[in-house]
Amino acid sequence: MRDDEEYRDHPVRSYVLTSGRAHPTRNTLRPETLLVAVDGRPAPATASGQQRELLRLCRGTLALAEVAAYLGLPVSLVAVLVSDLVDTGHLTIRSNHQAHALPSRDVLEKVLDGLRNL
Amino acid sequence: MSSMSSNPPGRLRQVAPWVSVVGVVAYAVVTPVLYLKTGMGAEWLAWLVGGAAVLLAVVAALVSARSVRADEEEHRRLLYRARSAEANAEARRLALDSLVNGQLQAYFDGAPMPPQPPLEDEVARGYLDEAATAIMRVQDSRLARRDAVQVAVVALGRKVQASAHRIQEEAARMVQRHPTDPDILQTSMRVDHAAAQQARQAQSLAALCGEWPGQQWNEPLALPDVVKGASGRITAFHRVEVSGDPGVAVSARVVEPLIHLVSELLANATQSSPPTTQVLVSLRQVQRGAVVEIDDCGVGLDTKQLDQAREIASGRKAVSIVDLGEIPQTGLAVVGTYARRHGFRVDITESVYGGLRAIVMIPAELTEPLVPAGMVTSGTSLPEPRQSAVATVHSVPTVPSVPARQSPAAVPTVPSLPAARAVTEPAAGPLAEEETVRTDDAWPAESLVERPSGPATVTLPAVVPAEADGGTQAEEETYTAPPAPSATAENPLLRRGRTPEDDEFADPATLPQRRSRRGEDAPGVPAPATPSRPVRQQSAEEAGQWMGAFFSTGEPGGAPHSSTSADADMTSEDR
Repeated sequence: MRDDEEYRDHPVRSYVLTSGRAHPTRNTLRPETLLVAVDGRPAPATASGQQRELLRLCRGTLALAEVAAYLGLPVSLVAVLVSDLVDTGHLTIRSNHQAHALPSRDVLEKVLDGLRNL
Repeated sequence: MSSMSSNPPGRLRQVAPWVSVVGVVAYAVVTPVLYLKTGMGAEWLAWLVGGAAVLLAVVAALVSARSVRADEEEHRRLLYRARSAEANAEARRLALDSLVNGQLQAYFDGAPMPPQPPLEDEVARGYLDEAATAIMRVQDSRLARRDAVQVAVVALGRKVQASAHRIQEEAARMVQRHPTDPDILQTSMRVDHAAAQQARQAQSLAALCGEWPGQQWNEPLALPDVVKGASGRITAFHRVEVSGDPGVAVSARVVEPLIHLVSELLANATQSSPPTTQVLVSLRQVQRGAVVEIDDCGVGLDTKQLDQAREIASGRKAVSIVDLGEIPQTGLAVVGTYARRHGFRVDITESVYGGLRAIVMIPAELTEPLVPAGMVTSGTSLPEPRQSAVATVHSVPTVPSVPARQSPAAVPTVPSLPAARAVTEPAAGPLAEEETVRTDDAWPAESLVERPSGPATVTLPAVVPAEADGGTQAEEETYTAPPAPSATAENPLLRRGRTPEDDEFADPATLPQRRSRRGEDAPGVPAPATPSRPVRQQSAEEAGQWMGAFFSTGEPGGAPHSSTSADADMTSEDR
């Protein structure tokens, strides 16, 4: 059921978007990888509509899976598009956000203490 | 009649010489006898006999003269009859000729019967009429049978096409189930590609039978995407090189015909040129519409073949499925069919590259100004024009940005897609209104929103209830406005077809649902999804900002990396 709702058809098929490539040029892309468009750099003249759209979406910071959802394209397909744009320098991958997201040692120790006191 | 009246003079004529001979012989015999017997005494008898002989001769001469006159009359009469018989024969010959060469030929060609030439001869006309009626009857039954065959061909083609689309759908679902696996994407692409070609062939059958293509798109499509969509349906899609973007979209109702038309031309171009060469497609806008030029680097055709190809491709020479012959060449016939039906102008000339150049002119009335960016995005191109239309129609009096926001919210609940489309077409016309939408830079991003369904909601960090409410309200406002009744014609059917989930594909009649399935992301979305839409619609930008803000504020608390400040800067700049 859910699949049904998600499936949408488009006259432009996925293999045309990537010239038949299914493997991204980078293997570091994960669905949660955060992407940011390089500021002030216009999309390449040869960019497809999808790539332009992707760049515009990434003016903020968005995860790959999110971008895919907005574009309505499969994540693995967007990964190919994204890695192309990263290669051409239009898009950057944010450094591993999990490092930033880790709470400080103090917080962790407090949590640990709290748990022990339960 | 005439023959009976001619009898007495004929007999007289036969008798007359004998009468005079008898007179002369009698005179010759009687005179010596009289001289011998009576001497000069019976002179009166001699006079009598001589007079009788003379009389007989005169009578004979008179009779002969009359008989000659009768002969002449008879001759004239016969001549007349001969002539009339000849004329009669000629008329019959003509009638027979028309029967055999005209009507029979028409029968064999399946063309309408030419009328019989006028014929005075009742009997012959009766026979000929009978023959003509028989031929007509046979032709009628043959036409009926041909129609039945065509219907069957169309139905079978539809089935094949539907199953091909089903394969495509399954392939797409496979990718959705394994969103991060490139190998599966690769497989899906190959399956999709093969199925797309199959669908095209099946669709050609329907087109040649004079039917509409089995699928229909609800939104205008940018011209480059039309070509891309077309190239996706041929084997060597990677050889197609598109250049130029005239910034026009093709009206929704001719999107599919044009894609199919271009894909047939591309198929011809790729097949008739060396596999290492590119097929160049250039797009441009002209005063009277938009032009697609397809150049191949093959060897081209000789003049006669080229003329034939032009006749067929331009639609001047109609080729139906029964004319294809044993080795069916459907490509140009399909092109011609669409050209005739939709008013595309197609020409084939020699290319400057040595091969052929196919030129397709799309009349201006079948094009629409292109909404900038995002339009061409696979995911978003569908919702966007619809939104633009809604926004244009309802938002013009107000601030552009507000309606632009509400429009995506409105779209999902718009009862029928054709309604939205009905709005689109008139709305897209006025350029000024279009401009108001264009200047609103908020809406392109928002337009993305409609498309994503499941994943987006999952990943979206923020839900802003106020916005959601605003969105729903706005939605209701806009909702009342679209002329929903106008749309009822096609849409209820489509929407109804959606309910039986999978089996619908087995039925050829349900094929047009492809249109609904896609378009239906709007009406098909369940009610609970609606409130989340307005959220999603802003989240493209908002989510990015939120994420950026999260890092820029959250990071100082965490480990102060050297990259952190750089990232924070970046996000702030982005905002």
